[in-house]
Amino acid sequence: MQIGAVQALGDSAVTAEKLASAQSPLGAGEGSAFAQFSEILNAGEKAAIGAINGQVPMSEAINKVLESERMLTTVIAARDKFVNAYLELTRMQI
Amino acid sequence: MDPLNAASATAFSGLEAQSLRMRVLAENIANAESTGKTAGADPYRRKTVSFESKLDEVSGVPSVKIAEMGTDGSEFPMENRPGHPAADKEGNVKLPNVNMIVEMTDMRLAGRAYEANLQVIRQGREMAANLVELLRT
Repeated sequence: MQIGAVQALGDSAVTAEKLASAQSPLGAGEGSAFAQFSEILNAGEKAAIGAINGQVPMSEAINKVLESERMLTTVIAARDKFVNAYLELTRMQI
Repeated sequence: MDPLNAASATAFSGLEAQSLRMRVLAENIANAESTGKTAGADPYRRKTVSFESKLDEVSGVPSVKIAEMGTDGSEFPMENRPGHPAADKEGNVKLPNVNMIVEMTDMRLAGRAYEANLQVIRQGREMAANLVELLRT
């Protein structure tokens, strides 16, 4: 069983990592920001599934899910900031 | 590790410790009248828990763990019930050394400690959220 949305986010983080590794210091291979991001998301997902199956204590699962949520909101806020910066550039008067 | 994440991880270890304490309390309360089956046999002995501060080896975060689950060595109260299967020659039965008032007080403490840890997690989340909010303005 997989939680689709979280899995999709994990996948998109991996794709983002591949893209970013070519152009940005954020994604320079193993241990990069994006790799860590996808790792934390996957840990959150695994813990949630473990809690459903009763293998992982509820508190541990919630901790992991909250950790991935914190990571996600931070990455989204940073992404919005970057996108806004590019938008500002496009608005520059020539 | 980020200090706010570490605070949250420590508080979560507190939640887990209090949950385990609650499990032991439930066991004590459920067995408050569990006597022996044969004449003069010992009844259920009250279980106790103690906590200790420990460094979590995986995350490197200081956390709380159950140090040991022991048993309460105090005397069993006796009651005269001649017809009971666990009654001795004089008709006395050993009852578990579980004191309901002690268990209830302990349960209240466990609940309060759980709430305190939850509050730490809430506060940490709020602080982290406020920090991220700086990026949005």
